[in-house]
Amino acid sequence: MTGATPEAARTTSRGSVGEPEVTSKVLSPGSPPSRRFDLARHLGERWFRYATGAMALIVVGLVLLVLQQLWVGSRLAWSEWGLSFITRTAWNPVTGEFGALPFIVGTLLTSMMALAIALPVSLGIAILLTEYAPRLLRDPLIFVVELLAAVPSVVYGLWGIFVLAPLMQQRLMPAIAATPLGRLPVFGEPGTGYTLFTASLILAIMIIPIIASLSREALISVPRDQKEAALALGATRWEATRFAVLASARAGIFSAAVLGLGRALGETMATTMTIGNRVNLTFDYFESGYSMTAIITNELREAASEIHIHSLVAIGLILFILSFVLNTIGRLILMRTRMRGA
Amino acid sequence: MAESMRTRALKVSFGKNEAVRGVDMDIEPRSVTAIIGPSGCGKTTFLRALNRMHDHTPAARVSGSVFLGEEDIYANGINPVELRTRVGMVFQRPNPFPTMSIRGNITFAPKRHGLARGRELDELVERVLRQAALWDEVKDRLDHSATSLSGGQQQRLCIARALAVRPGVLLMDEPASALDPTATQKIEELIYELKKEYTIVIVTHNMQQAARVSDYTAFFYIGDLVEFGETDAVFTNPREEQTEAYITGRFG
Repeated sequence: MTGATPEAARTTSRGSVGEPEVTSKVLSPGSPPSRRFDLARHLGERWFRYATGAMALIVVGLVLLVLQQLWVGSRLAWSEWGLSFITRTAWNPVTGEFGALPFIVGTLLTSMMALAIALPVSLGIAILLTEYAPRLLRDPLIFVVELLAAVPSVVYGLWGIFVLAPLMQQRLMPAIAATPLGRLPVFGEPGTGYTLFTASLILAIMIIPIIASLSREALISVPRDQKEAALALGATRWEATRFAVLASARAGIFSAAVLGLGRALGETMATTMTIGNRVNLTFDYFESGYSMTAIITNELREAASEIHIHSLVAIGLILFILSFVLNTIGRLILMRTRMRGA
Repeated sequence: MAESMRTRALKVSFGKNEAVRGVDMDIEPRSVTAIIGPSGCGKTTFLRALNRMHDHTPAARVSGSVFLGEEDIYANGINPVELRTRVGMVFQRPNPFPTMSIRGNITFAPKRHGLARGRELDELVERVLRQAALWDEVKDRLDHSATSLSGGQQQRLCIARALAVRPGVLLMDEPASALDPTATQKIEELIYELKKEYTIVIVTHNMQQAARVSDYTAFFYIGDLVEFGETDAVFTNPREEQTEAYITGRFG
């Protein structure tokens, strides 16, 4: 009977309509069963409601507490430079000059490039897994993709230092520079192997599992009849996937991309190990740079002056707000596409 | 345009379960053939073999032959994609593409197959929507989402969409079972109109519906074609005892 599942599903859904006994049972007269007030159950219900409410409050409280602590810990930076701290480019612990812009730019550039690389790869994996791969290939593939997510980020960092950075320097960057892509202003003269691009690539590998598995879920959740509708109209498999499945799953894919971007923004160890750690306001992916996470990791323990510490915490606060804003934008767009789709 | 179909020793199995067990059936052009039978009797499985939808179910095995006109659709060299433009299908639940407009749903397939462009497309949209008796209800909002329509309208849109590639045969898998009685009546009137130009095969759970709309009726039971003949004869004077038991409501 396994193969006849569509028929089987249909009968169960119709069963309730076609059976007259069901309705007659509901309508049959008789004294309602007497219900006795059960104090224990009543209190249990109440207690449960309060307990779950308290749990939710704890989470909200924690977010506010973190925000408040970041604010208190960074107030010297804000009172010294105000909002211009965000756009200042100087970073000199000796003279006490601090500004966040090089780190913000470094974080945004690497995360966005990581997303640009990871999204098509992840979508390809997700489509292969849901539409094309036979079961024998699918399960091992899912396992491998999920294994990628289980690798500690410090291991990715090590791999970046010993494998990717030299490879970038000797092969990849010169190769890209030689293609028409190399004429884009974001790709300059290749030099060191520790660059924004190296970090982007590591980040891309790190966010592929999350984007691929969330996209896969989005693709699976598209009703089968959407794809069949397209196939029955003479669409090829790829057309059915693209116009019926991908189109219907776009909100889910978008949220997968936003969550991937969120991970890339906050990733610390692998970025710190590969980005080059040079305070350098640049839009050239082939130069060394710095990220918000990397500067905090590298300098917080050795920061001697109070203004230095406060400046680092201020960067933490900006990162917090940045992730918050990005996630909010992502979720808002997600909600709007969902409403239009419904 | 309307084409005939024939099946010869058609078998469909899923793993060890044989859902259709050797069916010979001749489907006349410009007529409505209804397929009835209790759940799990293989009606839908049979229908889906007529446009090779089982190609996309890895466990399904089809043997025997199905002729569209004089061509065996399971022969080597037959492209199932092209076949499905000649044998259209309407599903049980209305399934318009939710991300596309009403117009977009209809133009999707003709655009893919290069059947029409520009003004021709507009004419095509109007023609098939008129054929599906939906034009007057939607002509002022062709760019609205297909999901803004009611269930019955969505199903008629799906019929219009299927007609847009000019199929010779239209397969309908319980097209009204998810609809209310008024919408069901509209679909039935539509089927009556469409059979002038198309060959229609309809699977239905509803025996009154089969009696109302069809010229020929096939009664399936556990994968076998038990009885097949003109609808009047099958309903008033069935040859087989099982058919009589089913249509008089003794089982199923």
